[in-house]
Amino acid sequence: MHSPADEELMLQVRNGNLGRLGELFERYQTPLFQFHLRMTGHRQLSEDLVQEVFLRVLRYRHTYQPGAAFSTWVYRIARNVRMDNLRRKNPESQPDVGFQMAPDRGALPDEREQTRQEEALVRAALARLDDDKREVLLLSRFHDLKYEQIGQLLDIPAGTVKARVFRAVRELREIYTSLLAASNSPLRRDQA
Amino acid sequence: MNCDQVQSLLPDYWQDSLDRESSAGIQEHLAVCESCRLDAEMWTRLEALPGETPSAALSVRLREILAAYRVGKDHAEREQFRKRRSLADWLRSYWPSQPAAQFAITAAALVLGVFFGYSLAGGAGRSREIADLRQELRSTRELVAVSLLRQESASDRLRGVNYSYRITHPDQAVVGALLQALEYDPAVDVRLSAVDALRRFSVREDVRRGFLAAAEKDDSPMVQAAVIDTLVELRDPSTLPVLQQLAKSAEVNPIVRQRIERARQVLERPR
Repeated sequence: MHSPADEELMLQVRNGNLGRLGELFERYQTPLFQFHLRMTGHRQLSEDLVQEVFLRVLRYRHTYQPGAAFSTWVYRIARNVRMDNLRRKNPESQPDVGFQMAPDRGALPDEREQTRQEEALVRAALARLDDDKREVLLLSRFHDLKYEQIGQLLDIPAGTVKARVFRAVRELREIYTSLLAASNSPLRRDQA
Repeated sequence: MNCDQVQSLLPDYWQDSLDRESSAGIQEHLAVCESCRLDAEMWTRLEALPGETPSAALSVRLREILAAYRVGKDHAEREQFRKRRSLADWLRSYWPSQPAAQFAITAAALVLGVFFGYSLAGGAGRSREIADLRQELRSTRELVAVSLLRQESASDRLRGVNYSYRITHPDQAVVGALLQALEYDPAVDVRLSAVDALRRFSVREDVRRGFLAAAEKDDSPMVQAAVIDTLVELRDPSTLPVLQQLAKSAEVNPIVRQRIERARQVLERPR
């Protein structure tokens, strides 16, 4: 069965068919949650931020322009929500226990443990990246946004977005390597 | 390809938007250059991040938002329906059923109209003054905003609220009309927009009182939530007792209660 495009649903919401917003909730709540979680490291706060995003989608639905990509529009709202939250000085600096922890020293070298270690290392490295680099990296890596769309979101040319993505990856790699060197992780031996 | 060329193309390579020839060139380079290969591996390694999912409660909360929005909207629609019906009933009660009587009333209205038309056209100088004055008034943006806010159609009133942003220093009439929209407009969207538009004037005592009244009395939890957020931005602890009193009400919507709790956390925090 034909599934309506996000833009089609949003146009219906804009025209007063609010029931269609439920479908957009379903499509976007997880990606938006992941975006906020990876930016803040805080689960409850991230859920609050997603709720705020949809409140604003509903409130400002008449500002959605036909023809505009819904994903660009909704991630712009998501960014603004996070910025507003930072301005209100909510305790974003308190990540959930375990979310951004560096790997334990001397963990068992089985395969599952290696996966867990790698995941913890990547998270820890990502958390140490500057906010603007982390943001551009997440948007390009996980949210199916083209560089042109990210450029529209951040009000910068697509070429600048690409340069930032590369610099973010390079810096992430350096942080990851230094964290790995400082740990006793079995990954250190594997990736040496 | 050298490292600089590869590094400038890697982001496109990662989004799979390069032509076959460029992709092959990058792959050849990665096979021999360790530094660039490690960058490419870091991009791939990001896959290690698990796909975290929100709790089931989020979905419930999102549905609550929609339901909360509809509470106010449905109420407004019922009110409008009730008003329309009562106006129709009122007209029907006064309009005679006999065609002869209907004809007499129409003729009388025509005569009265002609009479008033002549009497107004009598003083030519005075009417010119009035016309000039009207022209002057029409040229002000205040008049546009205020008159749009008095329109019957909700989308016109919404335009009126948005129009008020064009006025740098609006007079009392505009702020008054916005406050009136916040308090009485039947459309939730208009009241929500009025909250945003009034935010610029939140230092004014009457605006602050309007916000507090809306937080307490508005039948849309969306409007209550928006007003509470605005009051929190003002960082005025004196608003907290009113909000806490509201939170004690058994009927208060969960979204509003959540907002009040957040307001408490912020307003009780030392500055």
